[in-house]
Amino acid sequence: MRRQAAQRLGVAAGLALLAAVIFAVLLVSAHAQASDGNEPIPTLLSFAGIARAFREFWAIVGPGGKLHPAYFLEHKGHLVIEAALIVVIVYLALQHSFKVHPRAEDPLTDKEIDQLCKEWTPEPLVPAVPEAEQFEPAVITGVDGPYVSVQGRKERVLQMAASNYLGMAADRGAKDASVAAVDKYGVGSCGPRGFYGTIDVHLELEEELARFYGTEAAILYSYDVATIASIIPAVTNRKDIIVCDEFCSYAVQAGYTVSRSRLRTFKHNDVADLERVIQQLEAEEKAKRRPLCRKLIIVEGIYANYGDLAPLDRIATIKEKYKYRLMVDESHAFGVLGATGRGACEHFGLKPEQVDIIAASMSHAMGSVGGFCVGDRTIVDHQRLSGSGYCFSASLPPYLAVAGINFLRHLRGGAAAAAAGAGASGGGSGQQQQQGSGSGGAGEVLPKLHTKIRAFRTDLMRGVPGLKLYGGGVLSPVLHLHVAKPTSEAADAAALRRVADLMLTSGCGGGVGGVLVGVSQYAAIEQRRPPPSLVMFVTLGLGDKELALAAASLRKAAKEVFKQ
Amino acid sequence: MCMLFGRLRDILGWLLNPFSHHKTGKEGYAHIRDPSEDFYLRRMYGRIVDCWNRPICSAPDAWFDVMERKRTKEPSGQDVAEITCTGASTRCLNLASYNYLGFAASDPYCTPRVIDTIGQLGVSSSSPRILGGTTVAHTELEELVAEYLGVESAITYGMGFATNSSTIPALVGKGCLIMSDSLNHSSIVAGARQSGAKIKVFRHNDAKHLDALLRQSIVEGQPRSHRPWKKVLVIVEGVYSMEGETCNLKEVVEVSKRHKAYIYLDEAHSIGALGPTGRGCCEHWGVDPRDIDIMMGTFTKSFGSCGGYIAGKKPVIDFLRRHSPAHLYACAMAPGCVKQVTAALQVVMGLDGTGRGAAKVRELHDNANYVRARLLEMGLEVLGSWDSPVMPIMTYSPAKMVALSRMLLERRMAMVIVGFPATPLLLTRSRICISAAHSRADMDWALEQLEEMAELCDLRFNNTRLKAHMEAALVDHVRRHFGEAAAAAASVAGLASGAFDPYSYLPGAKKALTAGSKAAQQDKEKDGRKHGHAAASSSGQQQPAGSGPASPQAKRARKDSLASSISANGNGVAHHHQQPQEPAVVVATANGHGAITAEVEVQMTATSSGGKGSKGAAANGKAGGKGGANGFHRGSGHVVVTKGSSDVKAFIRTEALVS
Repeated sequence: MRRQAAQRLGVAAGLALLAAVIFAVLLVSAHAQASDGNEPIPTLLSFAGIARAFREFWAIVGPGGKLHPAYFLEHKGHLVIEAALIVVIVYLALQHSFKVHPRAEDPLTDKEIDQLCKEWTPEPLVPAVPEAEQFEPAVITGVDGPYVSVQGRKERVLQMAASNYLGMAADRGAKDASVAAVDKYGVGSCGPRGFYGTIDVHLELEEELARFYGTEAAILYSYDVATIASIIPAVTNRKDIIVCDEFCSYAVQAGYTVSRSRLRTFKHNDVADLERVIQQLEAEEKAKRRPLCRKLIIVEGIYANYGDLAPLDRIATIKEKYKYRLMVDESHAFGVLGATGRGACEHFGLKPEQVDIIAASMSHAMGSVGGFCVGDRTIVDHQRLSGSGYCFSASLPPYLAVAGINFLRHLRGGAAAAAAGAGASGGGSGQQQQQGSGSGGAGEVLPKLHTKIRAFRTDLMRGVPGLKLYGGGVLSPVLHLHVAKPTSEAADAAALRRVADLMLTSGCGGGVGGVLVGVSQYAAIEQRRPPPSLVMFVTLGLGDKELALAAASLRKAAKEVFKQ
Repeated sequence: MCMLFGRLRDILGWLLNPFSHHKTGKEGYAHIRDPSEDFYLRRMYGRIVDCWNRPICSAPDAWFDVMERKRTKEPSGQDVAEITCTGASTRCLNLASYNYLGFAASDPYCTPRVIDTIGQLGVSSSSPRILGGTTVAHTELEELVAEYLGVESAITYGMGFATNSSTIPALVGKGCLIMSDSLNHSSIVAGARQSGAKIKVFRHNDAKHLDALLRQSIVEGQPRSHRPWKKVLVIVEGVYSMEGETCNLKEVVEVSKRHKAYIYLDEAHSIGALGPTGRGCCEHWGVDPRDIDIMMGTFTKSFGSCGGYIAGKKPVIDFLRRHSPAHLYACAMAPGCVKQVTAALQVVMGLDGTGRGAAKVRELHDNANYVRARLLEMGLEVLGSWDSPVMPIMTYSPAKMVALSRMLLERRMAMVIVGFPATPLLLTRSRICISAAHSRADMDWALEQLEEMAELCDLRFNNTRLKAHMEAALVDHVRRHFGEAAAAAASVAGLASGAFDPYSYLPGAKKALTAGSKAAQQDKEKDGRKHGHAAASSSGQQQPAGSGPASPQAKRARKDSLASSISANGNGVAHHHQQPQEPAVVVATANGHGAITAEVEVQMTATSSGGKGSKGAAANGKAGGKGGANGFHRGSGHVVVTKGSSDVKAFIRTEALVS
C-alpha cells in the first residue's frame, strides 16, 4: 500500500514538474519574441525589465493573446490532447511490466519446522536386493597350481576365475619370499607412506619398477581400484580436460568423477571418434580463448570389462599431434603383453617417453595386491603430495611389496637375478627364491602364455552354443563371453550364472570336479554398464589338457542352458 | 613469512631473467602441477622434504630402524631437495605408527597362522571377491567381525581408503544429503564427492550445529527443486586422526535418530583402541552398535594388517555385496592379511584362551592416558580425548614443526609432524601415536626428551583453559568407566604422577591382572614405572623456570638456535642439547650476547639446585612464563572468543589464526 502511494506521489510530482518546465519554456520564448524589435531591452533583472516581461507575457496569455486558454483551445486544442496522451504513454512506459511483487513470507515457526521434520520419511538406506541377484561366490579353501579346492566340493576344480596369469600368486618362490618378509616386517605397515609407513622394500620395488619400465620413477599404491582413481584427480581438476574411452573400468570413472574435470568420452576403441572429439574440444577451447590446461587421454591397455586391446599406436600419434597427455591403465596387460612383459604399450611398440602415465594393478600377473604408476619424476613426485590414495592411506603391506619384487626378478628371468636380489631383500629367502623361480624370464614364459591364449581363443571362436566371445582372436588373456541373442540384463545374467554353476558342479572326469569361472556384475552406480558376461582368464598354469577340459565343460553347460 | 619471501623471490627471479624462469615442462603442455601447488612445492615443501617419507627397515614395533638419509642436492627454489639413503639405520622409538595394540611386529599367535594361510591360499587371490577371490579366510573374518562388533553382518575390503571411497557412493546418490563432520578424513570426502549427493558440512563434533543444519535441510529439501531428500546420511569418525578426539557419538546418534538420518561411523582409528574391550567408539560411549546404520573401520591400525570393513544390518551388507564397486572390481584382500586380522581379533576377544588381548587394550589406555596427562602437565597444547591413542601437540608455526621433527630424529625419536596439505598452514602439529607395545621406561624417556624439546622449540602455549577442560573430561570419563569413587579421586596431575590409577577402583581389580597381562607387564620392566616417574618429576621442575620472568632473552636465544637448526638441518644444535645446561650458553655466545649468557647460566643453576622447595618458584615461573609465552599472542592483540568449555579447540584455533 505504502509503495503504491509513493508511486502515485511520484507521478504527480513528475507531472507538476513537466507543467513547470513547459511554462518556463513558454515564458522565455515569449521574452525572446518580444525582444525581436529594435527598442533596447532592459535587463530582466531590473524591476522595469520584470514589469515589461510580465506585460508582454500578459499580452500573450491574457484575453485576446495567442496563448489565452480560450484562444489556444479553439485553435490548437489538439495539442492539449496530444500532450495528455504523451504523458499517459510515458507513465505507462515507466511502469514495471505487470510484475507481481512477491510478498515476503513469514518465516516458519519452530512448531511448523518440527512438524515438517516429523512428516519427512526417508527412503530405506538400501533397496532390497532381488533374490535372483543374490549369490554366494564359491569359497576357496586351498590353492594348488591351476587347481583350487572349493568348499562343499570333494574334487578340486580348475581355477579360471582368477587373473593370476603367470601363476605367481601361488608360486612357491613367491610364497617363501612373502613368508620371510612377514617374519621380518610383520603384516601391516601401520602407517601412511609419509608417516613412517615407508619400508625399504617399498623403495626397492619402486626402483625396480622404474628400472623395469625404463622410466624415471615409480610410485606404489596399496590397492588396485584406488590407484588410477587417485592419480586422475591428482593431475586434473575442474579446469582440465579428460578424454576417455566410453567403457573404461570403474576405477577410471571414479577418478574422473572425483576430479570434476570436463569429461568427453569417445566410442569404444574408435580412434577416428577420438580424433573427432579432440578436434571439437580444441575448437571450443580456441573459440572461448581458454588458457592452456592439462589435457588427458585415458585408455586401458586391455579393457577389464571387454577384454580387448586399445590401439595404442594410433592413439599415440593423435596424442602427439594434439599435445594431450596419455594415460594407460595396464592392469591386465602388465606382465602379459610385450616381449618383456611391460604391457600393451610395449606390444604396440611405444617408447616409454611416449606414454606419460602408466598405471597398473599388482593383483593380476604380479600375483600380489596393490597398484603402481610409472612416469616422469615430476608426475610421480606430484602424486606423492596429491594422490589421495597414496597420502591418506596406509602403505602396502611389506610382504606384498616383496612378492612384487620377486615377480619382477622372475620376469627379468634367470637364477642370476634371483641370486643378486637375495642379498638386498634380506630375510634369507635367496635360496628358496632360486628354487621357486629358477626357470622363467619373460622371454621364456610370455611366448608360452601367448600360445595358450591364442589356442584357447581360437578354440572358443569355433563356437559355443548361445554365447559369443568378445574380441575374437585378440591377444588378451581376459575372455568375456556375451549372450549371443541378448534379452534383458537380468535374464542374461541369470542364464550366465546357470552356465557358471553347471561348469562348477558337473565333473570333468580325471579327478577334476569342474571349472570355476566368473560372471561379471556391475554396480548400479556405474553410468554405463556393459552387458553381463561370462569371465574366464587364461593363465600359464593351465596345460593343453586343462584348456581342452575347460572348453568342453563350457560347451556342455552352455548347450544345456541355451538348448532352446 | 616464508610464503612472502618465496613470492618475492619468484618475482625477482622473473624480473632478472624473464626467459629462463621456471620452465613448464614439455612445450605445448600445461604444467602437471597447479600454480599454487607448484609454489608450495618449490618454496616450502622442497626445503623440508626430509621430515616426511622417512623410510624404515624393520617392523613398525615400539622401536624400529629408521634409515639414515642425506641430502645429495640442496633445494634451489625451483625444485625439491634430493635425499638418498646412506644405507645405515638408527634404532628409534616409534611414536608414529598406528600400532595401537602392538600387533605390527611378529606375534606368537598371529604370525604362524598368517604363514600357514599364505602357504595354503597363496600370496594373493588375484581376483575380485565375486569372481574367484573369496576364500575361506574371508568368510571366517567377516563372521568374526560381525560377532566382535555385535551386528548382524559384515563385509571386508582390501584397503581402508577404498572402503570409504567406494561404499559411500554405493549407498547414497543424487537427491540424497550427506552431513559430514568438518574434519572428516580424505577418503570420506572422496566417497562423498563421487556419490553425487549434496554435501553439507557441520562444525567439528558439534551436535547442536548438526541438529540445526538437519532441521533446516529437511524443511528446505533439495536445492532448487525443494523436493524432499531421499535420505540423509550423517558421517562421523570415531577418533579423528589429526585431532585425537573421540566423536561426540551419543549426541550425534540422538540427533540423527530424531531426524531419521542414517549414521555412518568411521572407526578407522577407534576400533580396537577405544572401549574397555576395544570394541570402539560405541562401547566407549555406551551406544548400542545396532543404532549405528553403517559401522566402518580399518584393520590397518589396531590389528596390524591392511584393509577395512563395513558392518551393519544384513540387508545393507547384502546390498553392498551386490553393488559395492570395491567388492565387485577390486582384488580381494590378500589371504595373509585376512588371517592376521582374524588372529588379532581372536586375541582381542580372548578366543585364543589367554587374557593377552584384554591386557593389551588396558595397557594402551593406561599408556595413552599417562602420556597425555604428562604432556598436559608439561604445558604443551595436546589435543584429543582420554583413552584416545592419538595425541597431536600443537606447534602452530611450520618452522617449529620442522625443527621439532629434525631434532627428535637426532634424539632417536620418530614422531609424525603434520603440515599444510593435511592441516591449515598455521595449525601445524606434531603427533604421537601411543601403542600397547610401549613400556613405561620408553614413555618416560620420550617425555623427558619432549620436555627439552618443548623448551628448545618454544612449544608451551597458555594451556590453562585446555587443562581445565581436560580435567573435567577426565572426571567424566572416569565416572563412566570406573564409577563415582574413582571419579572423585581423578585428576590430571594424579594421573601424570602415577598417584591415581583408575583400574584400582574396578571391582576385583587385582584379579583382573591375569597371567597373560602379568607376563606382559614384566616383559616391559614393571618397576620402570616408579623410577621413571621420579626422574620425570625432577626434570619437570626445571621446565617452568626456563620460560620464567627473565626469559625473553632466553627465548630470543632459543629462537636463534631454532633458526640455525632449520638452516643446518638440525645438525650441531642437537649435539649441544645432549647436556641440558649447555644449549643456551653455546647459542648465546655464538650470538655475542655476553649478558644473556650470564643470566641464563644463573637461571640454569638455580633451577637445577632447586629440589622440592623450588616448586613455589617454579609455579611463579609458570605464571611469569605465561607473560613470556603469551607475548607471542598478546603482541598481536587478539581477542579470545570462547563458547563454553566444550569449545576449547575453536578457541585454540582462533588464537592460532589471530597470532
